[in-house]
Amino acid sequence: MRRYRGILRTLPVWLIILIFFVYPLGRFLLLPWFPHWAPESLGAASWPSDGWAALRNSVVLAIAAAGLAAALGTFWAWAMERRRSAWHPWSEAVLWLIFLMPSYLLTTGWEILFAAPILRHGFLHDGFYSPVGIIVLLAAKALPFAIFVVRPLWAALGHELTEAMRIFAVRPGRAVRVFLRLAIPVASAATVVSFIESVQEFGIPATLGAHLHLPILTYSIYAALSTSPLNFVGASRLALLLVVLAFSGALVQIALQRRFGAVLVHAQVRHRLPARPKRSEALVIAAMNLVVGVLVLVLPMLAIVRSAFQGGVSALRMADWDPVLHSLGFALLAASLAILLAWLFARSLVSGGVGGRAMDVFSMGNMAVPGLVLGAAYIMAFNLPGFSLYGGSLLLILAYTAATAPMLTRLLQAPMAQLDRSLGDAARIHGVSAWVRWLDIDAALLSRPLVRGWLLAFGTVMFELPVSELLYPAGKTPLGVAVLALNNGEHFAAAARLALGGLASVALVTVVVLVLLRFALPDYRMAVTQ
Amino acid sequence: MATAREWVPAVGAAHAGEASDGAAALLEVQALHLRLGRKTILRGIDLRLNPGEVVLLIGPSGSGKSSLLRAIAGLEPLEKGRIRLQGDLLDDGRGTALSPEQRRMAMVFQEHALWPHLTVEENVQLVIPGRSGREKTRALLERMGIAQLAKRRPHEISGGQRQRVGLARALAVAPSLMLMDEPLSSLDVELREQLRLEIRRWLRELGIGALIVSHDPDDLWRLADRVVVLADGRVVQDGSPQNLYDHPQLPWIARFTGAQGPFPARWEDGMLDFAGQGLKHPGFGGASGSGWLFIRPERVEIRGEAQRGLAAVLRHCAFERGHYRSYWELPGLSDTLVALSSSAPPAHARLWVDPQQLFFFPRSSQE
Amino acid sequence: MRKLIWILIPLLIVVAVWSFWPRQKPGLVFYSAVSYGPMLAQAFTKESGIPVRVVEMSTGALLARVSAQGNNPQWDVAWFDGASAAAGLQRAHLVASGIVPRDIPWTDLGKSLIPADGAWIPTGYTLAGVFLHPAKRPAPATWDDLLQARWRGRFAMNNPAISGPTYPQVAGWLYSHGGWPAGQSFLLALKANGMQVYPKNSNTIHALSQGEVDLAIVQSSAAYALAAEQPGRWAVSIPKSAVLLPRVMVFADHLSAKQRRDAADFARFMLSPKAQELAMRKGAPDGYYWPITRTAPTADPGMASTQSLPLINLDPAFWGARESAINAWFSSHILGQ
Repeated sequence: MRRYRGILRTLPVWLIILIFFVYPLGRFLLLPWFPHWAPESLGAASWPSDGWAALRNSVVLAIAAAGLAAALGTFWAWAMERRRSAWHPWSEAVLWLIFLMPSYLLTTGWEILFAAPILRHGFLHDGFYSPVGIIVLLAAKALPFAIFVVRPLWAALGHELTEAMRIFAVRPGRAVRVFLRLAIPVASAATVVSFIESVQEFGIPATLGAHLHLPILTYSIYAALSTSPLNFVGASRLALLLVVLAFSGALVQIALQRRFGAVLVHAQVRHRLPARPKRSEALVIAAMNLVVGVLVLVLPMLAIVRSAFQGGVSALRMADWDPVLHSLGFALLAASLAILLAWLFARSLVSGGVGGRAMDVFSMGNMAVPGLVLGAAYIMAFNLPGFSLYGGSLLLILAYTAATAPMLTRLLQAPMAQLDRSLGDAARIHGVSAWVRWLDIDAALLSRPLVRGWLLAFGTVMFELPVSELLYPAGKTPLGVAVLALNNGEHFAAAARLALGGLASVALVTVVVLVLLRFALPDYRMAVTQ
Repeated sequence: MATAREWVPAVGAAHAGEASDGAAALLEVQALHLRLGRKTILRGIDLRLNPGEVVLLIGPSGSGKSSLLRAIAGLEPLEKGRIRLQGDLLDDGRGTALSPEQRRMAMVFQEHALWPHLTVEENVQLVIPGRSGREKTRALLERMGIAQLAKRRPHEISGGQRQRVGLARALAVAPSLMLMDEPLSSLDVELREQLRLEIRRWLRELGIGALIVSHDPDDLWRLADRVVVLADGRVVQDGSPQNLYDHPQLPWIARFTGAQGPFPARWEDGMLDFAGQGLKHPGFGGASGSGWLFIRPERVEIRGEAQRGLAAVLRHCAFERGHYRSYWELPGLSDTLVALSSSAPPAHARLWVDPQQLFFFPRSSQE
Repeated sequence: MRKLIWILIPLLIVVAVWSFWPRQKPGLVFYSAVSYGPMLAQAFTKESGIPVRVVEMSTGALLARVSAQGNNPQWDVAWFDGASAAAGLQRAHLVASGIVPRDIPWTDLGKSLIPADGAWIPTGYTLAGVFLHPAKRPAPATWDDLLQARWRGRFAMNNPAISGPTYPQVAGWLYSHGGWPAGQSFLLALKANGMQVYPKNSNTIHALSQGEVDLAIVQSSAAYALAAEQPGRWAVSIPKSAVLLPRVMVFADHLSAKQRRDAADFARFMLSPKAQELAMRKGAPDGYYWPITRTAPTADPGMASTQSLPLINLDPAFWGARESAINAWFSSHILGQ
């Protein structure tokens, strides 16, 4: 009986997962086998005409981008872990900004640059408007992920390994080979992560890919669902391919970790101060930081800012800021819902047992399902006779929530696991009611991770593109959709203005929230035992 | 600041489980089985606590002491058994159980478990329901002599002060039963003694029964009315501290109560073969065989060479708190035997141990 | 923490209310893929007092939305280019029939565009494909001229699967070269002569302005609009057998009587000379269309006269039904995917 009560308490969580994740995704991804589940489309073909080309292009582009990102990322991560350099704070900032910046903004910035007369012709322009350009952009977006995955690996590799090589005066040639043998598993992890990110990327195909008329998997899925005749079954097949690709990548990643993990177990982690870089290394590090920072962040942002102010202040005043306001509203609501949901999920995750393991599988599995597929699934799932959410703000917000909650759940996992269990036990034994416990103890102790998660969700939803494209309520255009439309029509100045407006809103909200947090919660530290 | 006060410890009942005046038990645990995951942690635990009694729960690591405490608190569900508090059924092992919030208990944790983002005052006030919380908190903190810490946060006060706050919080709920999980182990020796006295005082003053898990033999002598020993998930001895001292049921208990050993020995037909010499000994009720012998240093007498006893050579001697602690080498023994005397011992002597103070455990018993 | 929550919760409630509050019931919900739709809707509201909520979308997106909403339409009136698309909606029972207003002074061409069951109202037409090219350069006279060596790899069109108005152009080619599937050979020949295909008008025009191609086959309104924007740089030529692309208005099925009346008034207003004048003068780029009512102002003088040109008027039902099959064939055989 007691066991059932425990299950009853976790029932709401699993009900939510069933209704908002399993059902829509299941219904959508199983369409190829059950086509009658799709709403009556107007006689569309079941395999999108450019399906195979899209698959081929996506894989090739993603592999190339992954190779580039992994090569750069492996070295960069090594430099951040094993060498002391004044560039490190700049590196951290640059990588964070690249991670946060929406890819279509990056593309827009560069398109503005290449629209300038001097750059309009020439090999740089041609290079940008070619698969090479797509590969470079994809690699840039994947870079933070690659470095994030690789840094702990470098940190864990004991310094003794390289020091032993130096003490035993191993010949440079052999030393390089041994180093490579160490680096290869690390680089493989980076490659796989970059591949997964690149294959799921939507913003770059939607801007650059469309200009190049290069079919790419994510864009083809979107196209199948946003032009007439609607092709749900076709979109589903493509989505399945996408999920399988990402999933395979994840499996490879797990296998790599298992194989590589053995190496790490034998290494004793002793934290030593990293060495100063050699002259040649220092040059490369500086070059890397400058080139990536300038090319990926500074130049495009400058282009956007300059373009935005092109018409002067009057243009700013007359601009249509509605998309920014719409997205602000959506993001505020969705982020709040998402963080609450993630908290619920994370509690289940951390509590262990069967429920915890199931939640682990669920949140990891969701990483293989890009927001695009979730959005597509939501079109059908809640458009039932007599009960239709499609076309309304509610569905969009629910989709945003579902798209961001799994990522937030994993973010909350570590802080929640570190929460001292006895703090909760003390509350329960001394008769503190559940509500008071949640509010005054759990929420307060988790306030920083919760707020950080909220801000991350807010920024993500504010600039979100694929789900927005598929589900936005007519008349309430979100920011990403508006910018993309303007970008495609080559109205770069207007696009830049909206982008800047969005960035300013995010910055403002971030500042306000952090100030509120400071005001509401005094600074405290966990007591250190003597 | 609480001053140390002398009190006469209430000598616990000679036999476990008997109420001193026939009053109903405060806590009754019957045939408790507890499983964590796939492992059975506690088997068939029977335990009884009388009102106002302080019971110490000791045992080797992994014996399930903390788990028993958590089960009584309601933090772990029982597989089988019953728990009653003041006659009310808390858990019947079949799914009906009161939640921890409803059990009228309090707990003091090893790492104090104070909520780090709340002040001392807020930590205590949180557990007091109703509007008068603030006043009650103030009064309690005053009474315990820590009112000056009211506005500080846990990381701003010392370990001893934190534990006092933990105690205050526990007392604030006016519990029927106090549970303590190694409340003093994270403190240094001096603080431990201080806090031990304070705990003792509050429990006595408020007449609260307590179940205390401990690893510290000092708690056995200075805190407990009765001791329950857990080993391998079962109760192996339940009695007063004196009872444990005189009749330890396990080698572990013998050591915990200060005996030295194990020394290899052999028992046969009423004679104990130890250190190459025979000692007469009343029966152990077991078959002949080899085993382990435990001896209390305080019961080892140093006699002259001409007298009866075990021939021994002095290995080392140290002056310790007013007496001499000597280490003796005996033939056939790899370890030295410790003896205590009020004056410096000679280089050779005969050591005599009262057979009643020898504890022999056959080889088959748990080590 | 409580303080934070007491601030956040009211804020969220305010945002939620603002986000979800149903705006005052608008008279009509109007999905417009026509650039001057919002402007005319405003004028209509000013004149009639009936509020109209306009939502602008590209034709493809509009059709996708309408299809996805299925039998739970959130729109009342939709306006876009392409009779075959309207026929598709009608086949899927998503639009009302018999909506063509009476007493409209149609031209003969206009009358020929009215469907038998009155499921859509033609309001004008453009040409699905015309030649847009640099002003100084020549243009082909017929579609077949595109097969000449001088045009090898130097002309571009849109992808019919993505660009709404392009499918009728493809259908027109097929029609004038033997129908379906016989007309495939012409398209294959175009491909063999290096035809470039871009997703949409904007991409094709971009390629033209970058000099990647010398000739773009785009919708006439887009071509005239660009030529007017950059005078002297571009020229528009209409080939023989250009394909007529009607601009059609449809009503959602199951409108209430009042909504039906309002929609009818709306359609009438759009066909009125006053509205059409406004559209043509101020409604770029879609304002570059040819009218089909006798009382309408003449089309922009920069636009060629179509009276003497042979135009192809496709059967919407026939070609509409084959759209997905033809698009699929196009993608696999022309785009090589």
